[in-house]
Amino acid sequence: MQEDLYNVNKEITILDVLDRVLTKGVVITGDIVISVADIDLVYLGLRLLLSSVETMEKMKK
Amino acid sequence: MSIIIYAIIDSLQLKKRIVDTDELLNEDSEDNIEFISTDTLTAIVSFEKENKQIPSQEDLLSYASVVDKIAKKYSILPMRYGSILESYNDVIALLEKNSESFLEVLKKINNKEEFSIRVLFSSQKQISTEDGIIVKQTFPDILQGESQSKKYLQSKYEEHIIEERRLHYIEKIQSLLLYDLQKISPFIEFKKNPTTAFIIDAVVLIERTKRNKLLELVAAVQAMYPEHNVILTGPWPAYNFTQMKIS
Repeated sequence: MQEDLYNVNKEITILDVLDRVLTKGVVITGDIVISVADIDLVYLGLRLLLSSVETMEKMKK
Repeated sequence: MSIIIYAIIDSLQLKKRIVDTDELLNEDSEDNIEFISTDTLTAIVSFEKENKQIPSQEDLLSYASVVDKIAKKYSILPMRYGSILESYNDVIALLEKNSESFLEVLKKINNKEEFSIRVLFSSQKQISTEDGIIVKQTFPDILQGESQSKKYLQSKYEEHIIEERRLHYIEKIQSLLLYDLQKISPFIEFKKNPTTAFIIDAVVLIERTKRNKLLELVAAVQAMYPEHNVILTGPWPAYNFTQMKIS
């Protein structure tokens, strides 16, 4: 059971990694503004994944 | 040349054991990691000859992997991706200038690890079920009627009540989780939920020795709410509890 808890959705885990590495931790002010190839897509991917469920349900109604 | 900083660690942690970079990251690691130290703090860095202008997702995951490997053995301040300085002296200056605040945060996170706990509605149906039916029976007198404008107001009222009940429901589960989490750790943050699919999106910093208690708690929450998805991720380096801006 406890091991199952670690067996999380891979997409959410990747989002967790990217969210932390890009927006959390110690920030040196004035450092470069990062433009990361394909990162936005990953973020949008999860957000859209979650919101698309809602949208689909609304459309059904 | 540029120096990428992955993490900052209390030098005493390294001095207590004779540590080299191979031991830190496993001998077969291909990461080219080095230490830059003052008496009190050590930056874990790599020297890069070229700057990648647009890093890829793979670059980020690789960076995160290095930070993660170090955090498994030591209490560290993880740096945000993109923490790049130009010279050895710049790194030393950074450590010396911010020594006090770094040590303070390192003390706070010592021997602790971060976890994310999310509780999600498993479907949109769960968010608004049955409530709509109940709401229709309780329209105030002023909203009763069959005209187009009344129907519009009724639908808005219904949406409002459903949202109010959803928030009340979320608050109830949050309070329950908070009550139990506080027995394990005082370091808990609830995040603003990005979509209505979320019931809870929280991060908690716990002592390494209390990991099993957290797992038991999460299992208990899942058992209590089998209709929802309870997702635990971690352990993570303490990214959410080391947020600080330095110069």
